Amino acid sequence: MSIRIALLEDDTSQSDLVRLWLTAAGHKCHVFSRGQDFMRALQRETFDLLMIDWMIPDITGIEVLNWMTANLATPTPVLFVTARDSEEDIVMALNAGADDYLVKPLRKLELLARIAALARRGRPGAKQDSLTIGEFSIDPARHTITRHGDAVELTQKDFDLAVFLFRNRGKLLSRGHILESVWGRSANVNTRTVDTHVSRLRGKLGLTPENGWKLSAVYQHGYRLEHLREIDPAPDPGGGPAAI
Amino acid sequence: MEDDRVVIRIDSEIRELIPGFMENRRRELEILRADAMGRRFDAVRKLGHTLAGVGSSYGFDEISRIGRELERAASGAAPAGVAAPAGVTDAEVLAVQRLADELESYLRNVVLRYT
Repeated sequence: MSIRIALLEDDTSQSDLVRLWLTAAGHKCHVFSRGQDFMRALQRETFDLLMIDWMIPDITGIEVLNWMTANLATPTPVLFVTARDSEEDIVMALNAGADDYLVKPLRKLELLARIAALARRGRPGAKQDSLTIGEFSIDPARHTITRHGDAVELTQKDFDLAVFLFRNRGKLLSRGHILESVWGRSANVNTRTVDTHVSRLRGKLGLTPENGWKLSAVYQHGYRLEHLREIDPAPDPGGGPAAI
Repeated sequence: MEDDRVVIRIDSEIRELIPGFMENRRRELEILRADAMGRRFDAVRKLGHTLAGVGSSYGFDEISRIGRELERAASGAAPAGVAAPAGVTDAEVLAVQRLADELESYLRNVVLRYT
């Protein structure tokens, strides 16, 4: 499973190491060395998981958590990472909104395991699990999607996009997040590509209000897929978007 | 001297990061000495905190140990969250300088073996 992670860490040796570990594990890691830059990014971008260091020159990690609680509509899992290891420090971070706490020095396998555990909480099912939502049945392993039992032909990218959107229904997804998760970070495409594919998918799958679906563009941000007939909206147990 | 060498085994996966890591520590050593002389113990404590956090992650347990010692040595004169700490004593400056000497010696003598 590949997820998109934002790391707030001012020490370059630490951030270089974490980025290398995460990238080698297949994740995408965006590093921010200043709290203000990190918070600005969270206003325009979405991530699957956030890693936050306690001691940052321009702000503390606790202050960042407080800002997130007050300003972000969709909670994203937070792994707090710091060399502070007292019980009161750990309690303070968890009470401020962190989902987990890891004490430096970091150990690679433990870090990756905790990230995987947090990511699992934020998504409805395993990567290869089939999905049945309303009139749609999706089998990622076989690359098939049916609507009312009839197969819908999609290109590979349209199919990947559909899986990503259905798994993250109810959640706001930035164009950058969609692009990175569906096309990959190195893909030579721009965010307009996302708009084109979303528009095509909306038509092919009939994701319109009259069919009980809403695939809406959120101004200057991205897209959100909603199932209007879903009595109990998509579970979001403190979780950010789920990876495809 | 051959006897002073300390052999450390490092995961080959992070080999490309090691030159930058060592350069950062050498730069921090200079900053540490200047902060100790200038009796800026809040800066010393923060630098110790950084060293403690990063050393063992790369495999350099000794750097983490020195970092923790620095943090402890500086916390008496400049405890975290205290805006106007009491003055720094000569003994406290000396303790930090000794730890800086240990760090310098370690950086000079460490020999890396990639596994």
